Amino acid sequence: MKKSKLALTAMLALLFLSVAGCLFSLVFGQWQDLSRQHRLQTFRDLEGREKAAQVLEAEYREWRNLPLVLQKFRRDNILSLDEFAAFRRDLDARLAANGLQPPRIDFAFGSAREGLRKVTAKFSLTGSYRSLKKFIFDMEAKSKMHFFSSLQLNAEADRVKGAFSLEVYLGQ
Amino acid sequence: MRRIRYNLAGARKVDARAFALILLGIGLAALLLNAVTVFNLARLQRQNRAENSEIRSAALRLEGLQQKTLRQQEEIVALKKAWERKLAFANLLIGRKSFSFISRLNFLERACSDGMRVRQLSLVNEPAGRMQMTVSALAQNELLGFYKKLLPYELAIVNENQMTEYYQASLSIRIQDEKK
Repeated sequence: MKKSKLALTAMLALLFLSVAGCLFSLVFGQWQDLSRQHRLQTFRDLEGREKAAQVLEAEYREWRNLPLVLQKFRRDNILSLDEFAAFRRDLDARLAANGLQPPRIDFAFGSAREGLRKVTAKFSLTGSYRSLKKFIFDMEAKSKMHFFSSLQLNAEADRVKGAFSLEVYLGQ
Repeated sequence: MRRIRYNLAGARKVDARAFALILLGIGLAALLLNAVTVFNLARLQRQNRAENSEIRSAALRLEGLQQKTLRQQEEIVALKKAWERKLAFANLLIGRKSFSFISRLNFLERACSDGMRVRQLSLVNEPAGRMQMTVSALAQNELLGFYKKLLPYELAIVNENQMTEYYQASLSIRIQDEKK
């Protein structure tokens, strides 16, 4: 009888330990789940940082490319001194094409800024509103870096007198 | 003659078969619980190992990312210092190049009615520049209609004169400097 009691006690103890172990494994699993949530937060932070890094990377690439972009901008839009002569011929051609003849054109060469020199051309024109407008349109349509800085139109009977100020930028 | 038997044992006799069955049941239950425990712990360990390895690689990635970000930020500051003025000047030129006198003339043509005439017009290529003009109209209501059309463009009337044959006004407006 003593032996059987002993065996029963041993088996019950084993069962108790097994129950405790099983409960522990379940509780431990739950605790691990909570811990996993915390780790997932770390991953989410990492994703956020990676997105921020991608934005920074794009900005960085833009800044790295900027010298090339500016170089291309100058090549495509800024006149060289040789091209300036062609520009003056073109200006004359545009004026003639619209039936306009300025009494004189004054060019003033300014100082250089950021490697560019500003040339201001001032002239006055008299003609129909339509021809003056067409001339302005023609000049605005050019891609090179020259633009009207100001203009003043005065109506005189059936004609319009215009005072123009045109800025041209030349590369060094 | 009947024979009388006495059980003189101190405790009740245990049925060996039933007892063995009970022990077997308890044993099996313990075994099952242990199996569940082992399975659970093994699964958790596997998960942990996988997550730890992912976290290690993520931490490495994060560290690399931080170093790269720092380096890029420093380079951006240096590039900005070197190129910002050139960029600002180029943008200024682009802004002035895109200023359209034609769109302003078109706007004025649309705003003026048949009985109106623009006598003088002054335009400046500046974002904050105002378009100054002197206009005349045969009737006052035409002038008022013109004012109404210009109201959204920060209209400022300098003066208005009533002549014998027409009404004349000096005014200025500001139009946004994008192409229309």
